[in-house]
Amino acid sequence: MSDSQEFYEIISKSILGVDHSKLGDLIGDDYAHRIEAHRGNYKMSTQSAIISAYPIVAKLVGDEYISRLAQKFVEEFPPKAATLTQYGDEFPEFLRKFAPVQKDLPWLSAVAELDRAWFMAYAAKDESSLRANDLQGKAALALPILAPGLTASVNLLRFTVPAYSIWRTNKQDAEVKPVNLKAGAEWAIVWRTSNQVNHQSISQAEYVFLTDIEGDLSFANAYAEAVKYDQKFDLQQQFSHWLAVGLFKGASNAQIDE
Amino acid sequence: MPPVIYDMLNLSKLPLNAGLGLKPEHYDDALACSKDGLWFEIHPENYMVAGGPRLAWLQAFCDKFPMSFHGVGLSLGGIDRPDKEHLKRLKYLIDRFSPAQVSEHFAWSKHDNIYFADLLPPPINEESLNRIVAHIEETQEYLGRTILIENPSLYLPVTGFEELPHIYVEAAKRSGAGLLFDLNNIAVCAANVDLPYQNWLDVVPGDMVGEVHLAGSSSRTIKQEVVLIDSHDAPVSELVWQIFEKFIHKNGVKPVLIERDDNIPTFDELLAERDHAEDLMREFSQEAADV
Repeated sequence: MSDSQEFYEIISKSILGVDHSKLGDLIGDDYAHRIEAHRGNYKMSTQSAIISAYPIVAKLVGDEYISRLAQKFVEEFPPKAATLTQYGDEFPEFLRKFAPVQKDLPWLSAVAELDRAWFMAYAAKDESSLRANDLQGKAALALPILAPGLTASVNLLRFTVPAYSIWRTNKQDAEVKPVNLKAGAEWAIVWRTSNQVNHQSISQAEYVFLTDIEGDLSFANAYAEAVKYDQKFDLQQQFSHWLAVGLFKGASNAQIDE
Repeated sequence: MPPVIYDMLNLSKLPLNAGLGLKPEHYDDALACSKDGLWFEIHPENYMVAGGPRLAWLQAFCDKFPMSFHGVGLSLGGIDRPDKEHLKRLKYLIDRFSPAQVSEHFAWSKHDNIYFADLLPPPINEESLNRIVAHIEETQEYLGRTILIENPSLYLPVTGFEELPHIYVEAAKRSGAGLLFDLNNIAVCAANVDLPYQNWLDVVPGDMVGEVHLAGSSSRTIKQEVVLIDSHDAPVSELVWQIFEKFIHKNGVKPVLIERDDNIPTFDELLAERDHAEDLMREFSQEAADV
């Protein structure tokens, strides 16, 4: 190992708290404690990034516990890139596997998924969405075979717990409403139109339908799957609603056949 | 509106005025501001996203104000070459938004695939100097433009720290980069490692400086020792204002930035600090004209 290589190794390991036995050799024993200045910066920046990225998780568990969770997460998944605004992809999965959370707050990782989905929608690629005008002149019979896909900002989520109800009331209600934790499964969608991030609860059939559209299936094929979960699934109504809120990919990207 | 004067040495296309670090908390107020010569600086890492409101805001500011892109993530002082993916994202932003200025740090922040979210001092020796020069050259070549390099703060008395001002200037000379001279960092160095700020003022050539940074710092007690931290969480200190006056009397006015990254005040409070910087620059210009 070259002197330079060793220099970086010693400082890196000292900041991470892995090994600071050689720091004194590098800067003198009288000054080795000053590595705390850099260690403090590292901890503060990385933990703040997680706390900012998961605001509803932070609100639910309080300042002290979110700091401890973030610290544990940073130790296990230190950032690899300088884009800290995007750091923390693995946090929901970390929470799912973290024993104390698993035991006492089994719904927390699902809430974290919603925080992440909000950011992903917020920062997603700008794409034009399909508009009613784009479909003018298309034969009515051609509509079922359209396979437009969904815009890049769309995140479809499914939960075995009422995570969306918990997340939504904590995000938007001035007075947080009680949620029955035994209410069972929920499905949700988070997406962006222009600069506005939107979210709403959806049914299981809608989830299946939109997931299939996202997978480039045609409306007819997606409907065939959705109707298995809801015999009253209304394709016309679904198409009109999601078209109006800008969910389908724009005409330039969509596969629109005559 | 008075004409905007650009640095004649062409190290900077920023106006010879004071600018502000742009924070999301201030987007509305900042975009509506019509102060003469106002410019803004951003950390491009905060805008390395695929799309959405962040980039829309940045576009709005770039349409109205001169902008400086001040990177914190290339780790030019590190042992590894600049990260290709990071360079690619930076170049995308530069090509899309055409900032007046691009800068980075004489420091490292990444090692062994871990990003430390801090600006760490490189080894102060010839081997390190050669490596940093190569990293700056590679960056400039990839970006297709000259960048400015900012001097680091020191908390650790790394071997050879007394030579830091010389090696910093030498790196810029060899690579063809300009200097972003952070006057708070030299105050921090002076407090922590007995490197007098005057040493920096003596060594740094004014004609290589394309931008000056002013910021506040805070004290942290570590094992009963007070260490001054480059925290950007307080107004510019009196000492830094004094150093700034010395700097402009020696080197003339440059584009100068008021940095604030934490404990963010109102936009008006930041504007008041900017006004103070502008007053000092105007006083100097008037004195120079009278002579």
